[in-house]
Amino acid sequence: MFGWIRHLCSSWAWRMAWRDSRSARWKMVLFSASIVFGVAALVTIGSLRENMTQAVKGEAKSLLGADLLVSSREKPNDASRSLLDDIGGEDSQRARELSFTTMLSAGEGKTPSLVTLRGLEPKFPFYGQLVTEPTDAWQKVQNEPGVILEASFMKRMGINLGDAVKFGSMEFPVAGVLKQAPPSGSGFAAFSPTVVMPLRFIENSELTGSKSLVFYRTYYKLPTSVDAESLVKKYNDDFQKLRLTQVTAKKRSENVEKAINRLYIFFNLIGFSALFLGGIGVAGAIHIHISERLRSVATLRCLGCSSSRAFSVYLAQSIAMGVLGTLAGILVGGVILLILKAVVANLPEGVLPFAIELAPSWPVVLRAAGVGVFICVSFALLPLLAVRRVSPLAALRGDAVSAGKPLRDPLRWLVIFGLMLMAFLLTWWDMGAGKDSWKTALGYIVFLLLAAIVLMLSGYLLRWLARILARPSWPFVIRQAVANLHRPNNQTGLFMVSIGLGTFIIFTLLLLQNILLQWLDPVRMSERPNIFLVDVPPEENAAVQKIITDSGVTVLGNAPIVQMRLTKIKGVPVQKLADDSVVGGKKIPKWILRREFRSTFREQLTDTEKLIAGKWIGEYRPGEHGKSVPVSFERKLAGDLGIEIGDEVTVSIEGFDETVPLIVASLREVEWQSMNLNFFIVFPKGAIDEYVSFNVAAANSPDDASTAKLQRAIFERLPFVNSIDLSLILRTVQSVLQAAGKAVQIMALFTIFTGAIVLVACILAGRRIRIRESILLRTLGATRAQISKILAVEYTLLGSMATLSGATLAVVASMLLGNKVFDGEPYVIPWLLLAEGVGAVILTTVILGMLLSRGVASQPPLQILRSERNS
Amino acid sequence: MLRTHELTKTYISGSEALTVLDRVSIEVTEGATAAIVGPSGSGKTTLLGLCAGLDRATDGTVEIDGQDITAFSEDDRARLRRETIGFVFQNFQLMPTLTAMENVLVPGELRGQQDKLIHERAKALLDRVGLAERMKHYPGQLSGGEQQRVAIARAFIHEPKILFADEPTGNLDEEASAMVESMLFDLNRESGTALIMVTHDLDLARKASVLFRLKGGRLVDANQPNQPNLSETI
Repeated sequence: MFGWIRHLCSSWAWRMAWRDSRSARWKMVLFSASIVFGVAALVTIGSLRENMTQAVKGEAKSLLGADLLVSSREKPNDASRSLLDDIGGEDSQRARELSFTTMLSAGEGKTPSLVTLRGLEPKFPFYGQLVTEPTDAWQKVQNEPGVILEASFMKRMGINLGDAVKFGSMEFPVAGVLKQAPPSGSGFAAFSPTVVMPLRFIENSELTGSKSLVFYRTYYKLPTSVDAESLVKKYNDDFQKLRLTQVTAKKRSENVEKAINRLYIFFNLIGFSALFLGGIGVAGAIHIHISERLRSVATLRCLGCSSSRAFSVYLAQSIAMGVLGTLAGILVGGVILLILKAVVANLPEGVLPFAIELAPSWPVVLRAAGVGVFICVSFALLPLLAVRRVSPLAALRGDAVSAGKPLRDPLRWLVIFGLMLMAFLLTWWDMGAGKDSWKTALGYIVFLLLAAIVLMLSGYLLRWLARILARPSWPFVIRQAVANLHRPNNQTGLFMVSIGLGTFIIFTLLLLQNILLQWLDPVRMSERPNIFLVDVPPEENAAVQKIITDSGVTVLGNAPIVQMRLTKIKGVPVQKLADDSVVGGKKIPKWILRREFRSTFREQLTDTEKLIAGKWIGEYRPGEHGKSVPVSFERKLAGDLGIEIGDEVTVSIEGFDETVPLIVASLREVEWQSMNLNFFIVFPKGAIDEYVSFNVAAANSPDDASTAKLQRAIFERLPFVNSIDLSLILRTVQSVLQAAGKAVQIMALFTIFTGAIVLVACILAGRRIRIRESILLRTLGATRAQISKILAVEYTLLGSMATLSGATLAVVASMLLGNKVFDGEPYVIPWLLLAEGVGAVILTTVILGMLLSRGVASQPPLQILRSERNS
Repeated sequence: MLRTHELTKTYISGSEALTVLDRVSIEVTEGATAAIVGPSGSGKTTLLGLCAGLDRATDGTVEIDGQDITAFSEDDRARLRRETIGFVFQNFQLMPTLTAMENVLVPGELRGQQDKLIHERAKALLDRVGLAERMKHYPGQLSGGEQQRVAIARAFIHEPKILFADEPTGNLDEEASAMVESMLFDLNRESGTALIMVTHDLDLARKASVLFRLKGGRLVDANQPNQPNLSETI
């Protein structure tokens, strides 16, 4: 059964493979090109991941700016201060940061803007740097009060160096432009611009007094003898007790690596899809190539060549094609990396958080090479297996050589299974071979396989329709073109799968991008809150409502906020749960146990939440539930905590040193994406009214002018109230998404190029069959125009059916995804965009088909006969 | 050299059985020439295919060079064809991507012969069939007669003990037919190869030393070919 392996090692197989390829060498080069862009994508994406991971590893400490960071959301008390001073001993260096969001005003008449103000001690960062323009700005502001702002923010606000900016009643001159921000302790990109200034000017100012969200951070540079990880372990209990969070440089770099890895997995799947499409192209082209070689195989068999030996000849050709395509793919990947390197080298200083050395990663190249050859050969094997079934008797008989029924060949099914298994294992491996990632990998493979099966079935349907619908009354050209769809050796199935799958992948990517942009489309938000006022003191609530209304902005919601933490769940202290994290066999995520909940109280449900269990209690009647307060939990949070109706939970109210026992009275389904004021835990009115820290107002501003008017009015009256312009944040997110969309489009290009090559390969592979038919038709008196029209109609029919099938699959996939993202709300399918795409693919198919069929209809029959016989 | 005993081939189509060859027994001695004749559909090509080990009989046996090949595996049959048998086909069956020289070399290469000797022999054979100047030409660049001469050279390259020829002149004009005929018989005499031909060509059949006449899948006659009523049987 595996004699072909022995034969493959013989020089004869390779010599025959070389000789046999003579008439089709350039075609085979083209077939092998089908995998070039798939391999190039794997090389590029994999190398980028490796390069970035290496850069992150190399500059792990620069990402945090320190060896260790300890953060708190509360002003450190004596116990915390004592612990913070103790960490690392006397030999360690410390630098503190105080960070919060606040409104910045650039002067009279100018609209204030939300910024993240970071007050830093001069020693920070210990690793990496804070780059300013002028270069000594950071040193200067240590002595003379001043702030350093981001260049883009200064441009947007019309601020120049030396101008004065105000935070509340405090005014500072702009002393410099921030070219490279110091490492951020939060680890997340801020949606508001960063402003840096020395800590000592704001530490004891009025600015922090009314803020709900202030971060107190202490950065440590530890002596080389002290291991940050061990230190964290040592102080872990104290950290928990004092509600301090910590991150080491190593942990931060691991988190960054995880983020890079997630991006890599997504982009790599796109690359793998392009390779998969290329593999189908190879299979289709080899199928036609082999069908033209079956007579030679029969002759070889007559001359005493065993089936495995004949098989080894064509397998050698496929391996050579795989190697050639892979080498070209590696080359293309290398060129792309070189281009990226040039782009990165020309980026302005500070754009990238760390230096990246872009170069091909050899382990990645080797792996891509293996995958490329494997995919090419595996797909080629599907049609190649037919060689084994060619009977030598076929050489004796003059009739067409048949290779039997492939569907009954068990080896074919074994190859398909092996291919899918390897594709799954490779994808899973790429995802880190984790316990949960196998489901994603399997889902991806099954999805791709299902798409291929659906397209194959569409091919059968088209052939069947062509057979039963054709009418003798139709014009000759149409009748002939339709008949071509189901004639023996037709390419309908191949076109359906290759063009259809390419269309499916490309359209899915485009629709995916559209879904994300649509989700954040400000038009969708027109009826929803687009401005939030945070940190409104309870006593100023009425005044704020009036300012909002006076500014022409509609108030959509107002909620008093009570800040709290969980202390007990079903009688078990959270501290214990954090250690075990298991309640009734269910693991509770630690972040839930430690997080601060911002809850509210109200009498009614809002229209963006729905009661799904229990009874809604809008007013608190002391004693009705014993000492407990009946509250409503959000469904998912209750699920994560493992609590049901009637269960008891205890919370401590932040800033009031009060503990309140709760009983779960109801569960709610919340539409978080509505952007309304929604909460995890909602109390009845009258239970916690005296513990309100601040109010939040949600409003809908009709335009930027009204938003600006409101922000100016609020800043003048209550400068400590933060006004969050959601449309501004949405624009930031949209620009990020558009940049991500560009990356997706670039990745889609790999698929588009692959699809184009596969299309060309399919057309060229079938050229000989078309020529034979054209010769026959021309001999019988058909004109060149008629033959050209037949070809045009056939390519239009094939292109249309394949593109429509692929587009339909993409729409179904995007609707499933859109439904998930929009949570049941209608997702608007961009039909115009789809129609343009479908038209473009059909037109490309017809144009390429006609261009590559040039000469089929124009040469004299005899000349074509001779040239084809010689090829 | 070749002996068949009660050779039968039946095809099953649905519930019907179609016997295309019915208990045919023939014998051809070493170095002899034999012609298989009969009307279309009489089972000539089926008999040739079974004798050459290209197909399996439903019943009966085939012996080649003293070996009963009936129970041979597919690989053993391939080995037998490689070692013992040569073929000449009606439609030449040259490999279009190989030159005349390379086509001739294939049987030798399949036997693992890649030395100078086999190249010399291929050159000599091409010279013998009058194509020494065209050994680097591809089949598409040769006429039908030239292609069949290349096929004859290929058939003799490995000095087979038995040569099967299926309508060797069927696709050729008179002049080319005459040349191919003479080459076949000359080489048969020179190398002592047994020649078994399937043909409709009366003149060619008459040149064979023994003639087998088939009709409706049965052997109706096996005798000397120079009988007066031969044309009636073909």
